[in-house]
Amino acid sequence: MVLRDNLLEKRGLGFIHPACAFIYLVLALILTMCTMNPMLIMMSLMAGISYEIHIMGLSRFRRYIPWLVLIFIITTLGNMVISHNGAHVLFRLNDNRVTLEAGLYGAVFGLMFAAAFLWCDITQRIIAGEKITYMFGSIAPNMGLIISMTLHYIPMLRKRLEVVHAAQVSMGRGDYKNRWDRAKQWGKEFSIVISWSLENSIDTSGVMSTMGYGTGKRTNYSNYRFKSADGLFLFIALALAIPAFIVVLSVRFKVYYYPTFGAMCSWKQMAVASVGYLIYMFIPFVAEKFFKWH
Amino acid sequence: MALIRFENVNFTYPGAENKALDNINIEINDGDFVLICGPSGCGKTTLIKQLLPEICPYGHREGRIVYYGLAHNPDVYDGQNKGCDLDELSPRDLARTFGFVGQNPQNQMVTDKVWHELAFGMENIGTSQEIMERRIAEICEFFGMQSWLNKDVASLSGGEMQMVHLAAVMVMEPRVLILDEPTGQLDPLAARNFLDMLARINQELGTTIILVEHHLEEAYAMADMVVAMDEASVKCVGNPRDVAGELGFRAGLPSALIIAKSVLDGAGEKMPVNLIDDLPLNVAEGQKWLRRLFHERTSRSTHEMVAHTADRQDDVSIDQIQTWDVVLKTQELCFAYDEGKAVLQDCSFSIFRGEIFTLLGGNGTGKSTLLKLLSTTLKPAYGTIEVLGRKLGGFKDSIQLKRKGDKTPLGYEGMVLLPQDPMALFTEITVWDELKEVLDGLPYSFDEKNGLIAGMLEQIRLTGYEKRHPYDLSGGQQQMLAIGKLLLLKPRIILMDEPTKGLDYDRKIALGHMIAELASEGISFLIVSHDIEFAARFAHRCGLMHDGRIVAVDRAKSFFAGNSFFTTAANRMARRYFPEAILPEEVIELCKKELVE
Repeated sequence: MVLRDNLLEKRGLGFIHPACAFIYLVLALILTMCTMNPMLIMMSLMAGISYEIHIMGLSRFRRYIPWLVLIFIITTLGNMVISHNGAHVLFRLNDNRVTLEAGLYGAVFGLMFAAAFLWCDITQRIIAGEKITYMFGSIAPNMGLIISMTLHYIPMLRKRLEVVHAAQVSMGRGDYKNRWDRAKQWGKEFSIVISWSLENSIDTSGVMSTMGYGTGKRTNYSNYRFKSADGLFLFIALALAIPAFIVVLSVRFKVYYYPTFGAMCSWKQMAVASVGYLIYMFIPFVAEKFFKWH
Repeated sequence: MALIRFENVNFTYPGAENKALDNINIEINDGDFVLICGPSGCGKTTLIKQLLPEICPYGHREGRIVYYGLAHNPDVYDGQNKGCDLDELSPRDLARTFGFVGQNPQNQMVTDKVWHELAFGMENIGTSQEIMERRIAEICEFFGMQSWLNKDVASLSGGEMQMVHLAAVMVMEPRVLILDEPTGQLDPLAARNFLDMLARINQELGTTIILVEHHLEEAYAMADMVVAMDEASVKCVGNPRDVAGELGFRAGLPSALIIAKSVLDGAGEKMPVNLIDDLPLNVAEGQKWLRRLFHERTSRSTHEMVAHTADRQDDVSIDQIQTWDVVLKTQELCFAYDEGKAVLQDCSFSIFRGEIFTLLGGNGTGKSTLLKLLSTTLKPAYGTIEVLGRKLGGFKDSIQLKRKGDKTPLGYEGMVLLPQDPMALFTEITVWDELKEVLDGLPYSFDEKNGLIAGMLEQIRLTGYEKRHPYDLSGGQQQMLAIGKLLLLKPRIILMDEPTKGLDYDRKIALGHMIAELASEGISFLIVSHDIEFAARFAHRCGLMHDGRIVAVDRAKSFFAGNSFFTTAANRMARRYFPEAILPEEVIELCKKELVE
């Protein structure tokens, strides 16, 4: 599991310079969230699902499915209850019209929401660990340092909590039956760890200043270099983003739900225009094909 | 050529009557390996902190510290270098010039990855990406740490952390490397590696090194110049071999040197000059020195001397120990974190009442896992632990215990654990409250509690410190306070995790005497440690942990006498003549006996 994630950081989209990959992923997210066109959203959703399955395996992805379905059902039913627009009345609930169009709108909204969730999840998996530090560090070096220090602190605190807990248990304070006593004991252990770590951090801050921290402007060391592949990737991504944005934003390809569901152009025209969008969404697969280690 | 000169430097802490540094005049040459030694509280750390204004404690300083190494000073190489006052250096210049390595490896780690740790100092002084990449690559070559580069700092051992910090300091190319007891928290092997790296840095890069150290067994012979301090002033300065005879203290010096000096002091008649002039600084030199001593003094061969063995009055035979009550017994303990890689296998041993048992062994042999099993934070995969006749461990057992209304054998009147870092026990804001906290919920009246606390303060020699914050105590006092907390629980067994870590020689001895005293009152000790000298001096029995089991258990003396590598320096030096002598005193005594005959 861990091995897979480590590999992920280095291959396919993870191989690309984090800044380029981040730009691509953010654009994909925007392209997903700025449209209510069911055809485009299905494309984005399909791309998201297949890439997630590709990088995390079907068995792990399966755990997401109930949640995605739940989102879909909630938005569909929710919109049917809230919105009463639409020509096709299915039935009346408490004197309110429940329409087919409202249901459809809710359903597409649910799909959009699910797709957006998947793209966020992909971003979180690709831009992970050191790449976060790098992304922040290159914008604001101090911010990057704070994140790095936090990432250093978490495992250290966990280790210390173990030590403190062992010492407390061996003082006979392990098994309290009363919930209040247990909470009090936990609070005690936590407070030991915090004051212990604060005391030690004085030492750390001394070391930081002997290493020149705070003597002026900092630079930021980066493990990532801008490769020709990154430039190519970014160029292709941006080039494909143009037709994709046109189909998303242009009035000609607008879809409307009320009073009845329909589109400004024929679905055939729409399908032709969406080719760019489709390719954009499947770029990660192409990247997987090109940037692998063997 | 002088690089740094202290001119009549005095330093007084605010509110203190005595000076912490009294008229210091020393000159440190460019490229020298300088060792600053002396008993605790003699001002060693205060002295080196004068070179590090960023972390120098607040106080009043008089005198001048002159630095001659400013690269942009055109006078540097034409013999007219007047140097500049240290205070004139900018913070950035100071950071570039003086690298600092302190005692606690964990506290010196700032970031989450090793590469970031290496880059941290250079980032701070605004180095460009190209130069940083180049320097990091170079330093990885020098330290041989390429494979560490992408590791999480949290996954490193203490010795590795210290090495990473040293690399992170060296990558800034300091002129002077200042180290304050850098090996205090390391196990002997890591300490050795660290010192070897210092020697390489000094010899191959020419970096000036100023090292403050208590434990001088290895470090002493490495230095070009020794500065011996006592009572805030410098007592003698010079080449380690030259000043060896003048040093006013013995604590922490190489065993060979201690033995040679003591034998010479004790010999009433005049000794051959070459024995006096040529004091041994390490084990090999010590062996030669002994050979020469006995060759010149007596004509007998080594075979005749083998018969002599040292007698310790307090020695208890192993048969005697085994008649004592068993208080802690483990049987066939097995444990693994990952499947297929056993950390403990068939680990069985017993601890007897009033016994000091020291468990030695390197990192990763399963010592700390054993402690976790004993303190029930981990459950054994197989095997049983019996504490004071009650079973410990398995889930079923603890349920049964509760049903019977029996209390767990941990804590009050049972078994307790002293963690490696005493701070892991402190919760309160004064020493008094700290001790009082232990008695909460125990069946004592208010007056009884106060009596117990006052008595304990006396026992741990902290009377007068009641109102202090535990964190304001010295390392040794913190250790004592932690022990005091545990003693209030009237324990029958005390588990100790590296109790001598970071303590100087005198505090170690004081701790050892306290443990011995408590043991004679019937408390049993299981001490997990790397400290061979401590074990040799105070333990009744020693065990060697290897590959998840205890491979050798014996009376301390026979244990070390039977080992060839894993034994004290004094024993290694003199084993050809006195195989059973494991402490310097014993060797000295036997030498004297031999000389008299």
